[in-house]
Amino acid sequence: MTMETHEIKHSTQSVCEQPSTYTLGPLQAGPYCCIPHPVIQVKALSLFYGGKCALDTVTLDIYRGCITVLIGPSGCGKTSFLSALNRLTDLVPSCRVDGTVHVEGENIFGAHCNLQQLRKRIGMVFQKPTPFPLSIQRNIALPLREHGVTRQADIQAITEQVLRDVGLWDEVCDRLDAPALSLSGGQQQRLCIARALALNPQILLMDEPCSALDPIASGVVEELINRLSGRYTIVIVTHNLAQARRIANYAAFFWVKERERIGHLVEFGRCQHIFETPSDPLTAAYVSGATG
Amino acid sequence: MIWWKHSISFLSASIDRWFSAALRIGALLAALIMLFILLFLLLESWPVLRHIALMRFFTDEAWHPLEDQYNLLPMVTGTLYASSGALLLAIPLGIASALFMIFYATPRTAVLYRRLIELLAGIPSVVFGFWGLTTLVPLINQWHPPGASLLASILILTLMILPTLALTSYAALVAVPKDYLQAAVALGLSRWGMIYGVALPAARKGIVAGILLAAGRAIGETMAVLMVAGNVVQHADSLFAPIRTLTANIALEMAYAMGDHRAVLFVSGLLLLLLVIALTIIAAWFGKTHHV
Repeated sequence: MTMETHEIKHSTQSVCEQPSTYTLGPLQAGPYCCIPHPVIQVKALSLFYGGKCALDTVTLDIYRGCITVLIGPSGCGKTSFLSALNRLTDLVPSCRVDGTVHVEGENIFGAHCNLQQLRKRIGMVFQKPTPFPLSIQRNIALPLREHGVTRQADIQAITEQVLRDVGLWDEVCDRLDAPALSLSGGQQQRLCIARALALNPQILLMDEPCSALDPIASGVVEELINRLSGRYTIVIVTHNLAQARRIANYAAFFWVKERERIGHLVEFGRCQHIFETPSDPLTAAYVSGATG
Repeated sequence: MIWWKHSISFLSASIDRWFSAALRIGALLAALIMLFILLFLLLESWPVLRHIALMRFFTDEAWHPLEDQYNLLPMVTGTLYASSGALLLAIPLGIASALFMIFYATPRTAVLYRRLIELLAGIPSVVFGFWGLTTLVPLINQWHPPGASLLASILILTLMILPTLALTSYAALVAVPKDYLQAAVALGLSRWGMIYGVALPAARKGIVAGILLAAGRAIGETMAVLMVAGNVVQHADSLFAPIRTLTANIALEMAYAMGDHRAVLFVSGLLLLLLVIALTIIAAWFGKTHHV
């Protein structure tokens, strides 16, 4: 528990002041957040479900190695926006997308985009933990095999590595063959994160990963997200404003127009800016708890 | 007011009690019918079971019931060959049809296809037999006489159990939570990877139940098989050899059987029941132990 509060204290500091020991990984060459490098560039993205507009012309950049939090009331298109980033919107037959999303310069809505590769690079974690009804081990091995990792030794090494990364190894190392559904909710969610990490993605999309968990499990997952930032670019939807404030480097505030029920982006910026000195009165009202 | 509340809860409690009693009676009746059938078969076959050693049904020279020769083995193997051959063909076809309806066909095609399969399920068995007799048997005869054969029974049975398998597999696969499939897609799994790795394992129980149902139907099917099998009592040494199944044997000889002969026919009924019970036990074992 002390460890956790420690982490949280760090994350409330502004982006540039984070301790230099904080992250490892591809960005260790320099202090990552001082060079905001957009890894995802969203330009004029609109989403329609069956002809009805759900999200109206969103333009924003997601910066490498940072945690970008999407906040806003229900139905304002946060989840739709998130699922457009790895083209999970394709699963909804009536969904149409306008505008462009460039990931590392490549338009993912272009004709030549390899969806399997895209989704390998962009992992996703859902609100409800979704381990497959397989053993713990097979949950991680299945996507690995699918992406060409077939040597048993490699699979075992990666499994141990990612389970350690999410702090699950000590809890499950003696029962890797147990059904994943026998784990508790928090463990299941961490397993799902581990499963996404196993593919070594650059970007993690998280759709309210803590909202189905009890406060303690939620705290564990939040701490995990904090640890993962820097190594991965994280985009996370949350309804928990306190959590958003604790973990975010950047924040995007979405709002839904009353009458037309169309979601749109109100404001995007540094966490500090959005939570402490927002320029839009809507944002100010929402983050202070006056509306929403 | 208090009295009113009391009377409501009293009323609902008594309704619940009645309902529970009615359900118990219903369940008891269903179980009793099964027991009565078993008892009835035992009772009717008792005259021969009493004075003929059990092994004689498998070791006698041949099936000459009028000369006290009661070898049921050729009929048992006939039933087993025909049913397992049909299952071998129909299981892959049935599962493939279900997968086609859910994962590959456009919604409109899927509905049309499902209606067709449901229609196939509704065709009376005698019509299948009729078609087999007038079309299938002559065709096989051209290829390899005599035509009425194990192969003809297998093909007819395949057609008859295919809808059962397709529809039960469909129901099992449709019931797989969409969350699993979404998570699988988000991990960059290909469509086949998702089907093989996630959907089929998740639907396994329902599919096995469907196979059991289909196997029961294949073993028990009488009329259609009787019309195309040739009904020669012999061990089938090739696909083109005529066979006689246990059910066909009962249907063919019941009309004139008397005394021990009649009782032996009930013994074959008993054997059929035992086969189905064995199948149920195997399926239960499979459902329990092979968790993945």
